[in-house]
Amino acid sequence: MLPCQTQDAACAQQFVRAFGKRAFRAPLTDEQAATYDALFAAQPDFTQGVHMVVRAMLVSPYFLFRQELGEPDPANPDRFRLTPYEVASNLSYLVTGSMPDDELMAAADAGKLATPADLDAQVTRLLADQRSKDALMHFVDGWLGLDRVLATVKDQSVYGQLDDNLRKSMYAETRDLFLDTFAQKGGLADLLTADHTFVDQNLAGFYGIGGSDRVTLDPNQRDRGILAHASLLTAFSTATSSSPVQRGKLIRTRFLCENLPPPPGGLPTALVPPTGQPQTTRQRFEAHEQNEPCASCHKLIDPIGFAFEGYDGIGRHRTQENGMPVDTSGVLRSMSGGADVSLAGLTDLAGALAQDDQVEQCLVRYWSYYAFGSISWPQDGCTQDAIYQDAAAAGFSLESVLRAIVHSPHFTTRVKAS
Amino acid sequence: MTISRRDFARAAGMGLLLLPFLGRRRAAAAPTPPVRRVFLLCTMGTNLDLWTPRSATDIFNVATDPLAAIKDNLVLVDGLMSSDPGENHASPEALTGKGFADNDKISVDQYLAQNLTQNDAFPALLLGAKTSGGVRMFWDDKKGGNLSVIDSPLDAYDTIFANAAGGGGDLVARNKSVLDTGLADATALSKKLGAADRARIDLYAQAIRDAESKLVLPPVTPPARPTQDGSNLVAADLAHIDLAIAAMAASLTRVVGIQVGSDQAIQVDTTDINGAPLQGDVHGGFIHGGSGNGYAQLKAWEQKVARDYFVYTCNKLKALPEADGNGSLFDHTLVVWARDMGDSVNHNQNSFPFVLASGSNAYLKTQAGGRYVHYKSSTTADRHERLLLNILASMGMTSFAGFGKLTGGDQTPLAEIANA
Repeated sequence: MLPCQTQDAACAQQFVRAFGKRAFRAPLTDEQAATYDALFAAQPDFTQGVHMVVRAMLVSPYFLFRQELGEPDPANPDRFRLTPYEVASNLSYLVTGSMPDDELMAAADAGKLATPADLDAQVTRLLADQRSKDALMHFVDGWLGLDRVLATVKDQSVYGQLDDNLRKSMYAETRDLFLDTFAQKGGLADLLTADHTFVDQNLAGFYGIGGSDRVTLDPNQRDRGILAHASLLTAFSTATSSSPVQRGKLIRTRFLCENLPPPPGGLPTALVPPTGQPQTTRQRFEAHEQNEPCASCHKLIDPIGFAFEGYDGIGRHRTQENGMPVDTSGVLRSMSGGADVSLAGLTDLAGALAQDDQVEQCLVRYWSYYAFGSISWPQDGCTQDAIYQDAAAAGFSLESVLRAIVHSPHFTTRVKAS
Repeated sequence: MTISRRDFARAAGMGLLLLPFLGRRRAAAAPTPPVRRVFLLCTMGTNLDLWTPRSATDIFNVATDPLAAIKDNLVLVDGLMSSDPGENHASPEALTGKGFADNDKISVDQYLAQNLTQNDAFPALLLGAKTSGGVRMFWDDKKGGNLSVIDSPLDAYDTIFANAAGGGGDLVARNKSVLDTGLADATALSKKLGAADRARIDLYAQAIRDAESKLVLPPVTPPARPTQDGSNLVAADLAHIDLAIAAMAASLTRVVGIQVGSDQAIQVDTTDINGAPLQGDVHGGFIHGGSGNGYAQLKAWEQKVARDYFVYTCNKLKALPEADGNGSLFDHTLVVWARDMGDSVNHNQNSFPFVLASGSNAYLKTQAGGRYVHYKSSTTADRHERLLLNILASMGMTSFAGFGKLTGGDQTPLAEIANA
């Protein structure tokens, strides 16, 4: 931690500036340096000085908050340019989930973060950092709610097969497919329709398929693509059954960015009690569409979820439920006046989503929010539009979306508040 | 094509759509609350015939019956084996997880002192009468190995309280200067911000002011100066317990170790819990127990420690409110009765019994009527070192580099001890 060996005033000042630059992710201003020099000097010995400066810097808002203050743009009085250090932080937290490394700080020192080419070079370098994989999955966890598979409660009397190891294997399948698709320059459509997946022996046994690691899926065994992953199927189910509602809502909100209002206050939302006769999950949920006011929303949700009914609450493939054949037909109804899409099952749903521009736009919206933390349309509509255009021009690979975010004007500039 | 706002939800709806990210951040910020303090009561091993619970429903036995007074706060643990089960008394294993031949042995109290409580007036306060002539359970090889404790309550009193006002005052002043610096940074930063960001910094500044308001230590009103020197082991130990708890109440320490005798002798001159004389070297009962006078003496001594040391400590902590008004000291303290041996009759480290107690904090998993957790003492998964990691984890530590001998995925606290 110490940049020098001598325990004197000069070394103290070097330490304050070196540690301060790392903690605040930018060189200390003269005012900041004076504050921390004084704090160091007030301590009874060198060791106490180091302790106190470290403690104070780690409490400071300059450490705890990421700054985007910028500096006036001489060429455009309505704009502020983010400083090279602010850009370095944005880049590092987006790609690796952590503070800038030495090389990125050196690039900021040298003014080498000024052009899209500069930023692209750093993105390429940072994507080779293992931490980028966790950062990407942090986004996926938020976007798809993937990590729900690790903790969602299941009734062990129904799903005794689902232990912690199997949950981890399920999560790993989706992680591996997403990261491989990203690395192979694949796009969202590839995720939705991938003819292969990644399973360990545990999950291969659970799926009843041969092989392990990268395997090509036989469509007769399981549907292809991320929607048929046991991780999402488990995460979006109830404790005792599959859930056409949760799965339909997943598609509406996470893939199509369509808002579904909560049920009206005071409305009983429990399904009608079982009749005592054997029923399929679909038959129980079809009551939603037979009663208002439930039907007005559930006709937009449940018929999508019915396409998932070939899989139970932990993603086991099924053709029968309670002794009756499973019906996987469904409908993807348009919420914007377009044509409805009939679905024979999950493969049809994945195919329809893979061809829908709105799904790509939705991904841009989620990833932009993840990068910028703002949900204001007036400010961000243009930004997201620019990102979409940029990514589309590059084939809309997952990586192209990430790079398009970095290329967008909002990544390096801010508009002066009116 | 361009993105039309019509293609998406209205702005209010996007707030709901994007909640996944917000929810994740909130969830990540809510770990299990740690306890604030650890109180270690250290004695020799025991005769497991006296200790092992009578049944799954009656978790006590002759030696532990007095603990029933605080049963709702108790977790009894046994069956844990050390990494060197052949070693016997004086082994460093008990609180370090390492045997005689291992390097860099450090006990939990010193590990906490070096990694967590180093800025406290007393990072780890070690007390105990008449421990010389044998080995104590506190170790740090970098400080010469087996550590001494303060023997006389009079010395302990002078050490803890003679300069308490100055020591505590310095601590407050140091912490205040740290927070003042943060507040000054916030003020400078705030001037550069727009209204929305300024509101965030205002929240930060308020949090700093709240923290500062809690920095004022409760006035260190020293307890009455003890009348005991260290010549009577039990009387002095009980005085040590009072002093240690007073030091905790005054925020002078968060880690206390009380060593009761040594591995060679526990020479007492006291009465048992029924008032009958209890005199002589009760450690004979540990080593040669199983029959005769040693067995009866051990039984009386174990009951004495259970009632007059352990239950007394818990009740005393329970009676003292936290300075911030949030419950009692007991609610935020993990009290541990640790042993230097597992099966002391057979002189080995095969089956360590532990007694754990705490108030209504979120760390220790308790249940009405008391909990008993039994391990099988044969695998790495049942290594007693993992319970030592529970002690560290109870204070919020999640990384245990340099502690004990377990590594990788094995270096984890026992899941059954703590609340999930």
